[in-house]
Amino acid sequence: MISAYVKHKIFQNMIKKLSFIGLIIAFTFLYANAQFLHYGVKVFTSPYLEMEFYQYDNNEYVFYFANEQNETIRFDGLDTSLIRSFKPYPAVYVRYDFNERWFLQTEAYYFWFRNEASYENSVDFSEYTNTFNSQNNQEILNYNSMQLKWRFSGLRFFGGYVFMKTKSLRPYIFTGFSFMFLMSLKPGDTYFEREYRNFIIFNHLATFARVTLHNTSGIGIQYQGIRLSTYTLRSALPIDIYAADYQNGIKLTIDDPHPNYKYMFGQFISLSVNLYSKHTTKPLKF
Amino acid sequence: MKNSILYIFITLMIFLSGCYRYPEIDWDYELYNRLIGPDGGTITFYANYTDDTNMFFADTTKIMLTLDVPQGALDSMMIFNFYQYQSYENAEEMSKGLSKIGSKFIYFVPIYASDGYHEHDEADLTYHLSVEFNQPITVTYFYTMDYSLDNLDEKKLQFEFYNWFNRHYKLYRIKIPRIDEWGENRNIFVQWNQQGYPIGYNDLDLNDIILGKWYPFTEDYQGVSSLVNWEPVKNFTIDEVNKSVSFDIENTDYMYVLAHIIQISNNIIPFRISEYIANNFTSNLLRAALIDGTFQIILEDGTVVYFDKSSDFLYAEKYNVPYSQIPQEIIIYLNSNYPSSFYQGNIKTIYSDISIYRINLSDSKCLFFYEYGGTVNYFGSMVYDYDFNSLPQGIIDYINSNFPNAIINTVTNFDALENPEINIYLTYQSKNIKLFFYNQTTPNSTVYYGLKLEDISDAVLNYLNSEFNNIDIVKITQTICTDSSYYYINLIDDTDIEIDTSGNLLSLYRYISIQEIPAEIINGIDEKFESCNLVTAYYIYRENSEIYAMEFAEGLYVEMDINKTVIYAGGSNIQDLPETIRSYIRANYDITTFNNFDYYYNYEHSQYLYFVYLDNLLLIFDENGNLITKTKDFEVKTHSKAWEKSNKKHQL
Repeated sequence: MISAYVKHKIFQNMIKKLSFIGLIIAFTFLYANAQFLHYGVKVFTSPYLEMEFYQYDNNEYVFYFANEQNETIRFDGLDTSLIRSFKPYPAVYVRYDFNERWFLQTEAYYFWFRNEASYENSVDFSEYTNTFNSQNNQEILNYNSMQLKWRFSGLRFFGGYVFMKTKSLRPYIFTGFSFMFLMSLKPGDTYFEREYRNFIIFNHLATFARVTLHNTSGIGIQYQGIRLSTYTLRSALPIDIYAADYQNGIKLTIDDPHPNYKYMFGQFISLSVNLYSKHTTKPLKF
Repeated sequence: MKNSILYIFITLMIFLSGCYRYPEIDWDYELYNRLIGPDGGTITFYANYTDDTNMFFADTTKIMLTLDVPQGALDSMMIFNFYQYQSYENAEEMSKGLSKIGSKFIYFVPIYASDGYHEHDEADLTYHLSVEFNQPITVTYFYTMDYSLDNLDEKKLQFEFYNWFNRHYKLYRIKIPRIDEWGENRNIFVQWNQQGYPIGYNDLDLNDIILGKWYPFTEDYQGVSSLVNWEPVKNFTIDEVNKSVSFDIENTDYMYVLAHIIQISNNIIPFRISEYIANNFTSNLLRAALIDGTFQIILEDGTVVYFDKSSDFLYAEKYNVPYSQIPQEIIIYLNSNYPSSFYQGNIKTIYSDISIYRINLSDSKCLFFYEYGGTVNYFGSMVYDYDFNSLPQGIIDYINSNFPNAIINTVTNFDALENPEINIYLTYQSKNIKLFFYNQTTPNSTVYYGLKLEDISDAVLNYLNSEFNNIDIVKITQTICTDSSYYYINLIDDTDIEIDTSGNLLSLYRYISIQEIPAEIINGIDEKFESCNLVTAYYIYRENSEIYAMEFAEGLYVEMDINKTVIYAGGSNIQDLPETIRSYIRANYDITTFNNFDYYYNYEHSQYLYFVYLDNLLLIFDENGNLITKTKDFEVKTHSKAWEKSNKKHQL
């Protein structure tokens, strides 16, 4: 039987091949039809980003810690309230316009955020805080939650159509796909006296796939070289390294690693500006 | 364009190569997991709820309990919840003639993994889950772990009970009834916390089961504590180095505790003690105990009376003295000085000629009054868990310089009328130490508890080696006073030794067999007394005198020195009196009114005297059987008698 880890490696290789083929197709298209080449920068923000957590039966995904409180932990979700902000993230892009109506764009972006994995704790809160409050800071006692610090980079490929090309303000729509690369995942502030227990909890949360594929689509409006757009990202394939086992209906035992992340969905707003544009009437040569 | 593609490709590779590295999942959870199945394995409970960082370093010193589950012992996956129960009130109650607790009570509440682990509300009645294992599971309990000393009760338990653990202590188990085993609707229930998760069994139920107030086939709450639910565990191993006890369990139907059973049969209470109780207390004898060379007699009204090994009265304690029995002087004092306090659990300690009242103002503060010659006076107040930093600076400096970085466990401050008496209990270099200060910043005495053989001086070691073939030590305590230093050593055969650090024997109590009694002592007894069925005997060395103490089945107790001089005799058999005295009694009184007699040296008359107790009458004879006096006021005389004898011992 192929282990979940091996399946994940196969999945990763498949993604790599797909991305390379995608690049070849995109630039072949450009070779045939390109008219304008733009290089630009972009800032974007994510007012809403959601990670859906798998839900399990009461006794299926539980940590039974052998300490004098018989502490028992059961995951129940992710709190994304921490990331509902307008923090700006950077991106750079390359864009080809065809007759100022159709366009293809690829961009590289980087963003980071924090959210909280929440869990039920069998110990009474009063008992817990009486024991762990040496710094009088109940925010980071990790009683029933743990902050997760995420860092992603990504490559987004999409094509679109521009309306009213004779006007100064031109609305447009676009759709495509994006690869997201998990660059870093760390626990946030944790209570120092509970490091071992927190380490175990975090280890079991570190199952987000390193490379994930997402659908993206959105609308925007452009004025000369400046564009304002809003778009969504939604995971197109499983984003958890153990998701394949679970989704194939394999019954997991208590000891088996469990997938945590069911899907990811984000709403973004971006502002971009062309820094350099080139009129390319001649076919490009490879 | 070629360059563009190249750049994008390189960027992609950079992204991929810079991606996240996963931690090794699960490498450590097994250390900390309490879920186990038919494959068996080991569950390790850590005493590290307060700080688990040491587990990174595989710190085994924090292990509290291990369960070694052999393959096949369980039929299905099971979660073991491990609980410890302790209660100072419970331990205190047990110490009154039943047992001295040496550890917390431990038990397991198992949960089948298939049942789920979900919240329960308070009304949810979940019974004790009895699980029979296919094979025994080995438990190793590290009984000194997890002493957090969070509150005063825990500190009291630590210093009054757990610290006294020694080789007299054995493992006992106490039944947890299965569903309906003790009758319908008489079951123990799992208790839930606010999160809806189990926190063990109901503490009140556990308390009643331990104290024997709730047991099979009787009504609940008998009101009399007993060991009816206790039974010794036959096979267990105590590792004195690692301070652990190992034993097998075959089911989850018991809780376990290390304890020293001190209760003795009422039939073997020395006659003189029975006599003293009958003459001086109105309540009947309930049970008796022997601990550390002291007889402890518990009366039906809860009074505890203490006697030394020679059956001499030491003191008595009356617990929960009702408000109505507290002297009016004390009530007036309390009303004027502590009008809003609520007084509960007050104790009256009765000595030969003085009584001390302890009035509890709170868990940590009490007042003392003494009653002497018909008057009552305030004596002082005691504060437990006194703030170390509030002590006189000289004492703090002494501790810091002589015991640097010591752990201050607790401080008691007795604020007497004249000068405060301060006891500081600390742990220094793994030794438990008590320092006593009175009116000075250097200790009047320093007591080291729980010493080992290697801690004692060579002179003492030489003495032990020369006098005892097999030195099996239970307990060593060293007391260092301003002008002396001595050890108290207790051996496994209950021999008590007091010896100074130079190896000079101060006192010794040792039980001996009848064969060890010298023939001349036996002859001396035969010459003077009729009783001949010797039951117990022990050798006493005190104040440079060698004494043999003997108790006979006929009710005679005799202390005789090696010169065949009777130091003390007392009994209930009239045949042990000289013929002249017997004849006098027969001639003048109804023989059936005879109760008992005492014989010892009386300093008032400067001679040995017989004190013969009849119903409501005391007759005093000299050694030749001549009547000296008779009195009906003998209850007072018996008090003074004990005081007199105590004085005599001191003068010897």
